[in-house]
Amino acid sequence: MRLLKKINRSYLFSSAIVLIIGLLAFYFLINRIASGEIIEGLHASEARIVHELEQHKTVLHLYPLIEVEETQKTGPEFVKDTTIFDPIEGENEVFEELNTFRKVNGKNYHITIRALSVEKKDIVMSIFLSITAIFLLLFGVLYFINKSATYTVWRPFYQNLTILKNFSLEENREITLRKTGITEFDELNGVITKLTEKVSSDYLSLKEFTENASHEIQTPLSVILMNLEEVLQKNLPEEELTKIYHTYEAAKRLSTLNQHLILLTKIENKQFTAKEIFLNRIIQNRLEALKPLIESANLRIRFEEQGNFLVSMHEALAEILVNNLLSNAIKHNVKGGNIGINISGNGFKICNTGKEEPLRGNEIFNRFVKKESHGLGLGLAIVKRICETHNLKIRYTFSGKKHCFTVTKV
Amino acid sequence: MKILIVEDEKNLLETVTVFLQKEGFVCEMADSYFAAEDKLAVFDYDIIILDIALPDGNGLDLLRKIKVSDNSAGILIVSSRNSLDDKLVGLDLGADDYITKPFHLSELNSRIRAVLRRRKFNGTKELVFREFRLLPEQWEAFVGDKKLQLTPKEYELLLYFVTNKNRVLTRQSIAEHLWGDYMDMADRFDFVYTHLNNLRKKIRRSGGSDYIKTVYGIGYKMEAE
Repeated sequence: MRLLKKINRSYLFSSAIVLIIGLLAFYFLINRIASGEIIEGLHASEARIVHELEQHKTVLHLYPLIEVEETQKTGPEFVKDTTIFDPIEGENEVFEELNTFRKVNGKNYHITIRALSVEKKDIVMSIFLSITAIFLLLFGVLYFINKSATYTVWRPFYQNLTILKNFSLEENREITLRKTGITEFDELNGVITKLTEKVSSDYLSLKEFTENASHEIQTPLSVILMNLEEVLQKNLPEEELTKIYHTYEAAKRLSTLNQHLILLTKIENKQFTAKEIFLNRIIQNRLEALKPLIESANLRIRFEEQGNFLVSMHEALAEILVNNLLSNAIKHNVKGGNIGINISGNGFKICNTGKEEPLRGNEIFNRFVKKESHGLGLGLAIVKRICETHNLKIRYTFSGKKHCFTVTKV
Repeated sequence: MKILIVEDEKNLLETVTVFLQKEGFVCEMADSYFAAEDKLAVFDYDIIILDIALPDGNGLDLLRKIKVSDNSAGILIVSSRNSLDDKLVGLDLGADDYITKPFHLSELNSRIRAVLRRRKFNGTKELVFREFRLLPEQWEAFVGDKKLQLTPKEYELLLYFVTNKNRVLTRQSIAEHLWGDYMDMADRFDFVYTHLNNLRKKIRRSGGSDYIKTVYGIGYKMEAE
């Protein structure tokens, strides 16, 4: 939920409660004042009637407003509400009724005076209407104020949010946030800027550490590999030779792995100078180089050239890109299968026969995800990284029992 | 042939030295920039194997000095940083070749021999092994008088074996020699096997004997018996 919506919602909710309480208070207050006034009026009328009785001894009778009757009863005066049918209005009306017992000129009188009371329903209704009107007006005004505030006050905030969304550690660019002119936002910006600077520098030092570690590992690995290779030259019993070879193989694997990781880092760091090259030529060269392997697996190649695919890339990277894809197409093929290569002006596609089920499309480009037990699991990760750093997109599809890798310009 | 090996990692320095001595070179060791400078001031070398990252200086600076001093030695740069920039700078400065750690000793041997051939230090550009005769500059190989029709990779393979005869060459070392560091491991051995089989077939067809022995599970060895 947006901040504004949330604030507005709680505003609305609390003002509704306040208004309901206000409505009740208003009702009781107005009711009280109104009936007070009426009773005061009734008392005044009663005093006049008593005065009239004393002076003229006439008995006024005006039903239902005034009733005077002689009575033996005496008692204290009392006020009550009563509902009486009003013949003039033709309906039941609520009256405020004052009953007094007076002794005037030796006679006892029971004086009943009534006045139409204000109807509660009407009070409630009018209060409710006026308060609702105020409420709506208030909300309307708030809405427009918020809306214009969003444009003026919140705009820099959203702009900064966009800048933050585009922030990437790998690009290693400092972020510069807009000044908002609002203390809280500017404070937040300050904290974010400091945080990203710290994260960036931590990331850089971590990367440097990894790089240096990778490089430093190469020298001891060289010593291990060279010495093992020398021992392999000796005329040792087969059992020993096998053990040494296994050790050598593992060390070699470690070293290759390390080299591939260094390569990945270098691609990420954009340490390769790009130049314009046609991938058509690279693909043909690689195909030529892989020919013995293709022939020994009895694979048929369908090579289609619909255009020249020009990319800006270091030649060594282009070779790795094409080589890894073609090697996979050969390695994961079946005997007598085929490989389709299609180059257009906008990209190229390599399809191969192989296992009759699709690969897990989103996982295969991750590091150390292996299709089979051999291999390092870095080939496609390197391919993907090369694509990403050169404005290319790679996609894996499986259709017609063929595994296809498509590289296109973004 | 006299070689100066400049390398700060003592273990590596010794291993390389022992290997090259066995290959028939006269070797001198320098384990620092300072030591190397000292030796270069006094002696002449045919080949200098130069590690770029030295604790007391940059190998590339030493390379500049060597070139300025009109030293005619062939120079092979060694680096643990497989950085193309270092490579380009090194070659621009006049180094003859560039090799990345970790490297195979057989690979080092091949590179040294190639530099020597290019510089014609050993007078001949021909390599002879039994009935084989290789002309590396022309990329040609003969069995007796018969020319072998080899693909570039097959030729490189034969040259690698002849250069490193009587030595077990692991499949890894062969694959790396032929295709560099970045080819996927899995198909490399199939690939070595395929190339080697084709080469053997062609040699037999031309009437040569197959001196390449399979060292089971490890690699191959060209034996002169």
